[in-house]
Amino acid sequence: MTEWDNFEDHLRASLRRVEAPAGLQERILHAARLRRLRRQLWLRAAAVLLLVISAAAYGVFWRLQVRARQAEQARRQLELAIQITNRRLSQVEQQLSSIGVKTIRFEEVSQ
Amino acid sequence: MKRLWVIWPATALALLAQAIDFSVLDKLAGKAKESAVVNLGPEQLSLVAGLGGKGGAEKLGDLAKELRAVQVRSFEYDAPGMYDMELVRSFRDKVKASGEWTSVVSVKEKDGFTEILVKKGTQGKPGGLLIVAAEPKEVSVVHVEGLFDLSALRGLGVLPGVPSLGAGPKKEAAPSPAPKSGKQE
Repeated sequence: MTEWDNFEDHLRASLRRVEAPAGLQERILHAARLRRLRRQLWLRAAAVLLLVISAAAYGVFWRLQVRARQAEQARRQLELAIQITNRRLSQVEQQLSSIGVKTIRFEEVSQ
Repeated sequence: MKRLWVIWPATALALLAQAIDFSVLDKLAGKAKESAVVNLGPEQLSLVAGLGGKGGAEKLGDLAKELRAVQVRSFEYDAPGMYDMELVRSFRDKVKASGEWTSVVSVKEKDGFTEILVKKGTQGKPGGLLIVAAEPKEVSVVHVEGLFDLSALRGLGVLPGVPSLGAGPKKEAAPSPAPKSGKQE
């Protein structure tokens, strides 16, 4: 047997058709599917997180807006109350002034 | 007075226990051509206190910090006799009868009356202020609760040329317990 014959045998053996192990195709497809699912899961998680953060931010913003509106409404009411109070006090002051009373000390009734 | 304020915040009814029952006065709103209704509790006042700002807004915030409740009913009518003045009188009498309030000014006129009552407080400040004013075509009831400096309230809406009515150091006329005008009740 020549060296050349050995080479041919080796080559033939190397090029002979070898059957893939059973289930290899399924395993490869399964792994690829898993990778794709994992990537989709991350994308969905990121989208949900973004949605939650956006909703929370909007919630905080909305709450602040509501509180600002309530504060503004309360401020207007307080100003109105002060206006009415001062108008009434001024009327009484004028009445008292007309009889010579200039100052009333409310400490008299404080403790 | 062009404003028409009928503000009924849901939280208004959550005023402190010290708040006076104004429900009887709400009956007066029926025939009023203009009405001003204010209900401010601790929550709303704390919102005002937190608004911040400068000048008048800052003073308003400082005042709001000291207040616990503000209630106002002010009704204006087209003609005299359109509301039951006796109802206002009985409201005032009921408040006076509670013993918490001291009348400091009581003015009676032929067709109305004005009464200023002060609640006992501490630190030289009144604990509350109640104004009941009834005129033929207008009725106003103001209730301010809290340990506040009256001059701060006046400083926010002082009218020029009007003598002061407040907690001042000088004592030119000290009604004890109640100063009475020439037309007293």
